[in-house]
Amino acid sequence: MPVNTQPALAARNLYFQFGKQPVIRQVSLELYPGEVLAIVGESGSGKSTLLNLLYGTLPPTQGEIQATTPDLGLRPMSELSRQTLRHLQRTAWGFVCQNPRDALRMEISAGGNIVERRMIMGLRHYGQLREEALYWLQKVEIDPARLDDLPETFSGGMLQRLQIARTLISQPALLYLDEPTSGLDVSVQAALLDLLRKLVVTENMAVLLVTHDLAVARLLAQRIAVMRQGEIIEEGLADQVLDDPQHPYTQLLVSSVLPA
Amino acid sequence: MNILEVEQLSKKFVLHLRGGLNLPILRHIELRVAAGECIALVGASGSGKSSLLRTIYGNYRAESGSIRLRNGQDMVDILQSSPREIITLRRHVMAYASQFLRVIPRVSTLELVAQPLTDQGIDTQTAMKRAAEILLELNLPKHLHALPPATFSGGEQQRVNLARAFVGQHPLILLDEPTASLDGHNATAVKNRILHAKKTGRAVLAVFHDPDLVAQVADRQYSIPSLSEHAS
Repeated sequence: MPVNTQPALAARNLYFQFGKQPVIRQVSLELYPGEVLAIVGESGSGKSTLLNLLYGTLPPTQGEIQATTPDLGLRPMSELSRQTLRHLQRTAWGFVCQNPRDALRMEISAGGNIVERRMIMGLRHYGQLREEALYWLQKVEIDPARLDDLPETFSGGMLQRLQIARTLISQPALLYLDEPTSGLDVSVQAALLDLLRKLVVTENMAVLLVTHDLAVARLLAQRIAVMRQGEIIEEGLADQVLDDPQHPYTQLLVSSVLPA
Repeated sequence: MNILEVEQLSKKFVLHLRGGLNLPILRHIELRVAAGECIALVGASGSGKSSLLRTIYGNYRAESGSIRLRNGQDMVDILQSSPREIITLRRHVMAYASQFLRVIPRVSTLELVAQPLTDQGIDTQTAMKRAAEILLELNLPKHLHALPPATFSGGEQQRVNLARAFVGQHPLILLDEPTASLDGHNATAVKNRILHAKKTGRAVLAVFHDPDLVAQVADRQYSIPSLSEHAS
């Protein structure tokens, strides 16, 4: 059984302080190719901060992070140059943030936004770039006729889908999702969840998903880590954490969800 | 050859939101299931039949005992396995059908049933073909295959769930009231699947509500020992 492959991401004993305020305490985790790990917990529990530490945008106060690179395999993040880190973030890794306006270039067309990563990776052929842009627009269910429109003319949900298309086009080995579907209509959310679910399998992506939506976590993730006050207080199989939660806080979290 | 060996298994729920109330669910369960055998779990409602299936599947934790499952030459203890190991065991060794289908929005019935096969690394085309065959065997006609099962009747959804459990040829199949919402005709289809699984050397552990079905498919019954009523 192929259980012993190398992780795509590994963190050991992470601490992060904001001034004197500890935000992340003693977090260790591993994430493997083809796996989705959901990080759940109330707002302010440190979920997004953890994601930023693991993506390399914030340096941890203490602890080590290793992440997968296309050429050298698993590498300590602290040993990567600024340039290398930046390149990895724009090609081999992907980050989908909660507010798409933070990630998109609002002054260039939807199509231009989508293919940016492919251009960074060296693709110059106009026809092929356009074809790929159209392909991804359709994948996220945006009318292909909007290819040349500016993002400014898009609705919030469409902007989020545009951000997802723009990120997934480079087929990142490591994908970070920060509440990716929280602002979307349920029909669009379902389409995106289905898309992500398939890509994880076909592209063998490793995905770290921050969400407060336990149903989304159950649907997408194999494992769930529950955060509270900067610590992972419970971690396990997704269905086990949700159906037989052990920690008092997890029990509260699970029992507080309104059934649909 | 034993597929499953459960020893001294005890499980309780600790309800922290109820002041740490202890709710014993299973106590000292001893159970063996061999290849080609079907064991029926019996016991009063609330005796822990479904909880036992869930614990074996790794859906529930347990505080003591062992649940050893045959994986090739080895016996692996579910209770000592990591999440990733349990996922691999679910992929290749054990399948479980609960009473209710958990639908994935917008995913077709055929894809849903093919998924256990593609998870095993079988190519999509073969997986889809086998999925269609098993759906037909369970009396789910072709025109339903392309639809997501969200709008299906309870009985249809249950058969989708069972198709998912049977399609992957897992050595151990766990079934929770597989015929609870089925009419006689469809219950017969399920019975035939269970008999077929036995004939091909697989083990079935199931909760049945229908005594006739028990008589027709089960080799033995296992009665869950009753717990003392008081919570400690």
